[in-house]
Amino acid sequence: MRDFFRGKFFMVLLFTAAFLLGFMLNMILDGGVTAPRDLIGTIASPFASFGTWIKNGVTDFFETFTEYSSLKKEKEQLIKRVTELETELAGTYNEKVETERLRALASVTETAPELKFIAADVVLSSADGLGSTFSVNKGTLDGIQLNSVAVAAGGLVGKVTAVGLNWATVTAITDPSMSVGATVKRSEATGVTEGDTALRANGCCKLSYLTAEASVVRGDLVFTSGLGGVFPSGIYIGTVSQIESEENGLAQNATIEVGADLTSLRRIYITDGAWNGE
Amino acid sequence: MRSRIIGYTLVFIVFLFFDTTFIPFKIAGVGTCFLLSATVCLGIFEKERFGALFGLFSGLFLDFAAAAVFGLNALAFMVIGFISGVFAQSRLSVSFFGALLLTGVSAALYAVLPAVMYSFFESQPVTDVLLYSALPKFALSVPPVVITFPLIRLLNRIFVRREERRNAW
Repeated sequence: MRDFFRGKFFMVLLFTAAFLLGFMLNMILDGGVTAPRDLIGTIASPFASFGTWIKNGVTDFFETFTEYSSLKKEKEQLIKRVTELETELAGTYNEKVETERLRALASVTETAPELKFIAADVVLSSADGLGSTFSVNKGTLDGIQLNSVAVAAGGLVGKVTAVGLNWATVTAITDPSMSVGATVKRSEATGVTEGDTALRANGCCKLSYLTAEASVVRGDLVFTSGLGGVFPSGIYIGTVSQIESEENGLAQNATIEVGADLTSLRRIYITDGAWNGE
Repeated sequence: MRSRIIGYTLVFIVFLFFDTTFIPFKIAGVGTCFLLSATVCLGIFEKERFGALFGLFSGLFLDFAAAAVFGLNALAFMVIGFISGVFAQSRLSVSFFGALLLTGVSAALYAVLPAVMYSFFESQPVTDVLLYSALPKFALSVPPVVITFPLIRLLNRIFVRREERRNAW
């Protein structure tokens, strides 16, 4: 055993451990993409795309069977949904706001006409419970840059926090490291959405820095305010599901149900280059 | 040696696929981790060199997928693979319960230490991080040993027999 600890392999192991520690410290202190990460990402991205293609194929294949057996159940659900929709139709104001939301979603480019969107497939997603990140199969070769904005059919997803030649990592707005300038559509109250470990598990985030006087109610729609310079204004974030006043009574916080379904993202749209905040 | 490398590379690819892309089971957004128990079992059956190398590659690819502090999983898995091999040679008998025990201890460290670090760097409440990340991660890292242990034992036996036969010739 003593010989082993003096052996070449053990020395190589120690050397590798020291290297890894160095990269970790570099990332914690400076951030950014380290050379080994870029290398691993460039190699892994095509394989991850292939793996996702297989996964989607297998999922789609089995879905055809489960879909057939669950038709009856789906019919009942559809009837229930139609009833719900009829109830929703009665509220004309909400309908109007909803239309505005959909229009904003469909034309984020109108808010920032200089932005072009690139479709990217989600090939890997973090499953360690510490953060909410996704890896996509497009990178700097396709025009994606650090801080490029990512959206999906349901609304804002997040921003690019690491990018390589043919891959990029998107950190979702539910990640505790993320904060986004936000505004409540109905009352124009402004705040900042922040990721929260406990809320993240339910696909929610926190809307902080709302004044005590700000008018926020359940069901309010929240959009990006454009403040902060990373996210253009007018992108749908989510719906207010809960409001809490702080103990000192000077401010209030809200919980937002994020519009984009972050648990089952397949394709997202990333801006060609970062938004310059103008 | 070549067949061993090919065999374990295939095991690595399959488990990596299950840990990062297919993710058969999730609790609070945390997925199953087959690679941890595979690293432990490989360390036990194939000794510390294979364990450390398998752990290093597993950790590097998990680091890329998770995008936390790059290198943390690589370092942790490499050490786990190495220690499993050393323990199997000097302290533990090669048995399922030995693997279960080592996986349990590794999973506890693997789940709690990064969570505490994360809580410190991201200013998140420790209780939340432990409850929503460390606990599910621990719960989903230990059970896969039921699959990884027999699989790697089977592969190890096949490779050992093959080498014995070749040596006999």
